[in-house]
Amino acid sequence: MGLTEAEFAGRVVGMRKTLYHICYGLLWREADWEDAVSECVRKALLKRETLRDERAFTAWMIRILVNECHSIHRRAARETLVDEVPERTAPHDSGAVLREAILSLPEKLRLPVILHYMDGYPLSDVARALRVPEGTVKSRLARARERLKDILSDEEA
Amino acid sequence: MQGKFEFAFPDAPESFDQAIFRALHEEGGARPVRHVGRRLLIAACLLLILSAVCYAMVKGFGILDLLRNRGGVRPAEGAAELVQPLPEQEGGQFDGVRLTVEEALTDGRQLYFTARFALEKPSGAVLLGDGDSASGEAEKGGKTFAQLAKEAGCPLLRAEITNIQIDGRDAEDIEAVDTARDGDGLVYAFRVPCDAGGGAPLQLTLSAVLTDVLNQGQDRTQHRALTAAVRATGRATAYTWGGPLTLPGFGCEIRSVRLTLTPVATYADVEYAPLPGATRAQLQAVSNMPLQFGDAAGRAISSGLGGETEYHGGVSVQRDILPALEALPDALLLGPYDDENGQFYESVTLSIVDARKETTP
Repeated sequence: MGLTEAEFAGRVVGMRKTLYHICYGLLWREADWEDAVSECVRKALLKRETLRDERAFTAWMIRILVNECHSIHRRAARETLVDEVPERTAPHDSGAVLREAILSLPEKLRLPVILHYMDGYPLSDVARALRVPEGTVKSRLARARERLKDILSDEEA
Repeated sequence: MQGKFEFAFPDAPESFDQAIFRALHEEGGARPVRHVGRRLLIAACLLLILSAVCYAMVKGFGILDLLRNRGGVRPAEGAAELVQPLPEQEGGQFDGVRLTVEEALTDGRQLYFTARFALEKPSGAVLLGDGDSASGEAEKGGKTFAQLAKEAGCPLLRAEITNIQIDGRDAEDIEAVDTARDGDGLVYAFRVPCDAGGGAPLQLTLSAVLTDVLNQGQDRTQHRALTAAVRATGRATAYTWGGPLTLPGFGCEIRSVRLTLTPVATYADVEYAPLPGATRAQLQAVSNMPLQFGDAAGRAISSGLGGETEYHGGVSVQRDILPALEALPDALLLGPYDDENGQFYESVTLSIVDARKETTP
């Protein structure tokens, strides 16, 4: 028994901040964020009846979106070899230093930071979304914290 | 910690929310319906054939069976000699459920093992794996796991492994290779980086949690830890190419490539860095796109157990786990690859005659 369209829409709207953070964290261009999230929602809507566990919805959506972001990278790679990419859209505010530090992390450290520290998902949910054990999430977060500390202290110096 | 990070990214632009609403709206009324019957029939036939093939393949729950079930991982014949059946361990005893590490396999690069959650009494509980949910459909008779547990008057227990240690240190970059349901029990297969060899003894410690999902809030969570003794075995042949090998269109140079062939898998370590003067667009492509291995005819070699890329001081190190190779072919390609069109954008050729070979017993 899967989610109805209305239930599905409600769940998607409820996690749109997370969906945006993932797109922002993984893709450079604003147009790509929209393409990624549209394609993710379309695919999830079509496949929603295959989701056996409704409680796993969040992790499932995150996985679909991360895969979509990777596909966009691959598709765009040929163009980005020859074309300049515009600067990432970001205000020059007090959070700029932390934002750039997060974005400079390798993806496998960046995603746990986004999901756990920015969006507040428990370690168990992050582990499920990234298909790694909780221990791996913990160690990745610890490594991310160390790297962020180094980057931010260099920045201050 | 969350407060500090909560506002690190700017708010979503309105166009982002609109894209979500558009996608939700479009799909609501625009499902393809034509020719569905015929396609369904073809799909059903294919599914039947595939199910029969899968059933035939998934008949064992050993570490090699579970590695083979995972697409692209094809251990060679010699891998069977490295499998260590392990005696039952202390510490994995829950109320009515026992956790055991059943088999382990090390090849000098990784430790692979299976861990089984088994019921002490038949129908003593219904076990949920990390990908199952109470409301999910169980294989038996189209009922949910929760229904099965209620009908049997037994608890519904989520059985998970939450941490893995080798010789008392938390293992990093663990991957859950596969999870299988064997009757009432659950079998997990894991991969953990481990470069010990020469028969060295290793202590593998698992932390596990069993949670009664229908009685949450009543402190029905049990934590256990068990330790298994494993020997670090393995033999490998490594081939190394020194760089630089240049990919001018991609804007990077490959500084070194190392392929380590073991009976379980082929491990690839590729170090590359942007060329001086590479454009920002090239830098972005380099940082986001893994390099792909291919055969001499330009066909991609499947990624097996996948890979990862790390950055150290402007240099990227890509590590892949590819299917086992009995011997290195005369030539391999390496370069950025277009998945959709099945073509390399550009590539360099790694010839066996240029490689430095080392063998470890």
